[in-house]
Amino acid sequence: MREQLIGYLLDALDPAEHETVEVHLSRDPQLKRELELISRALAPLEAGKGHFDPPQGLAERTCEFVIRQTQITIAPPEPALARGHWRVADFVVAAGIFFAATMLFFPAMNQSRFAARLSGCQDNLRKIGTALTDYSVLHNGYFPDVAVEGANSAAGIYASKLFEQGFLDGSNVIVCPASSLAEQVIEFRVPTLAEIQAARGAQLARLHEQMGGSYGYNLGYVSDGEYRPTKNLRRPTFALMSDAPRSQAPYYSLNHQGYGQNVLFEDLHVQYLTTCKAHGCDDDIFVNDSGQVAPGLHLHDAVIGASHSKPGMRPTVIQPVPRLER
Amino acid sequence: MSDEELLLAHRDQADRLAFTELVRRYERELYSYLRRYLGDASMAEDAFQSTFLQVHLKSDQFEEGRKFRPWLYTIATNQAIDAQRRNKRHRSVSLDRNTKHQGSDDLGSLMDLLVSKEPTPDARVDASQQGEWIRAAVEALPESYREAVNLVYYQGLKYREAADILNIPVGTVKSRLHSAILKLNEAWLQSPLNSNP
Repeated sequence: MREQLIGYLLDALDPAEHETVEVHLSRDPQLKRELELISRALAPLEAGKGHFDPPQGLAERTCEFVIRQTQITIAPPEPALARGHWRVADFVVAAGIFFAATMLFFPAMNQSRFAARLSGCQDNLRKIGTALTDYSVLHNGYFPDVAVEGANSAAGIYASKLFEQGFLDGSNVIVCPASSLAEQVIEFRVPTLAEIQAARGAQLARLHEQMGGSYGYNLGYVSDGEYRPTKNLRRPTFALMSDAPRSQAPYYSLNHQGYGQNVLFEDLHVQYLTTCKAHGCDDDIFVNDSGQVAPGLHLHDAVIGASHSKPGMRPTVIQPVPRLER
Repeated sequence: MSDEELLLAHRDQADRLAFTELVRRYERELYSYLRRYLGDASMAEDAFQSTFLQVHLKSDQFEEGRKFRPWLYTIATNQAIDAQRRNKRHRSVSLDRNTKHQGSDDLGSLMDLLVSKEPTPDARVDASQQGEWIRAAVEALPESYREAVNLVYYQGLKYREAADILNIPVGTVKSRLHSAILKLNEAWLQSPLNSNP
């Protein structure tokens, strides 16, 4: 009830709750006394209530910033055309011009948009690649590990680890502009490790689905029966990340209308591949040498899993990750 | 015009003045929120600008019938979280270490203390000093508590709106705010500025 009384004093309750509290207060003198006490307990906070004065011209600078960043001019609406000056012939000519222009420019526009999004997606991968490399430098050469079990057992955990330790900023960097995620999500935010640990059941499953953004991440490999995270050996043909693959076979990415996928290799070069085979070798980047979405079968068997993909190892396997805390 | 009408005018008619009006309308309120959240003027200004950039970029995803203010705070909170991560400005001071008691009964004892010991006029501390102290104390709260205090107490949002913004259950907002008030009171009673230790 105290929480309701606090909400009542702060006008934070829904109308129905507010009304209920008022009814209780009218009947219960003890509750009224408690309300008085809570009101006094809130009093010290009042001193910190004043607004901070914004810096001079913040609103104007913000409008200029938005225009500059988006490279658009938010022009005032054009005055409406005077009515009555258009004849049928004018409409026919205008429609013809519009049709011709559409036929000429739409394919080009589509191609241009496709290329722009492809390029934006590659830029993101390069930034993530740099962050992963920085991470490996401070963690004995290892990239972020995917836990064998528990809340951190999903490929997308790489993102939370990079953000948590300050290697990446701006959650949108893990959203490929060409992906469906970019259209669906209003404001993408990478969950913190604490949020992932606290999540349960369906909520945890949802976080696992989304936390890796539009990209898939390397699932590590198995050696001598033990699961091992990927070590940075700067290999030019070893796939570290890519556009996220479908969750069912056949495995390929839908980010670029299913035509292909951007792949980030360990030496940090990014390449758009129309097949799932890594450039310069026959390794399928979305499955291991046994054709499974599971850790690689040896050091050079790269497997990229979608955000929710798990190493799928037995819980008894120990992860031998030597780590240096930053 | 309402906030929602201004946003729709900006989105649907490319009305520049409508966007400018929105920014001006929230200049003081949102800057204060971000300044309080981030504890740094420069970071707050950056987050303010990024917030309205996102408002512009995401305006086509704003659903008619939805309230603009909670939507704006959702974006602003995410921008603030990103800004914090960028600056790796982790807080090392916690009010936890000053808290001797746990549990809901403590609020009663704290409030009893407040009631039974009215400060004498000459013992009252300067209001601005007290303001500074309480702002620092709120800043030193665990992040989850601070978010609840900032949104519900200082920004005047409903429990329901704060829950939507933070993507947590309403009950969690209520309990976090309750716990935050508890901690702040304990800290205040132990502070040298309080004349009734």
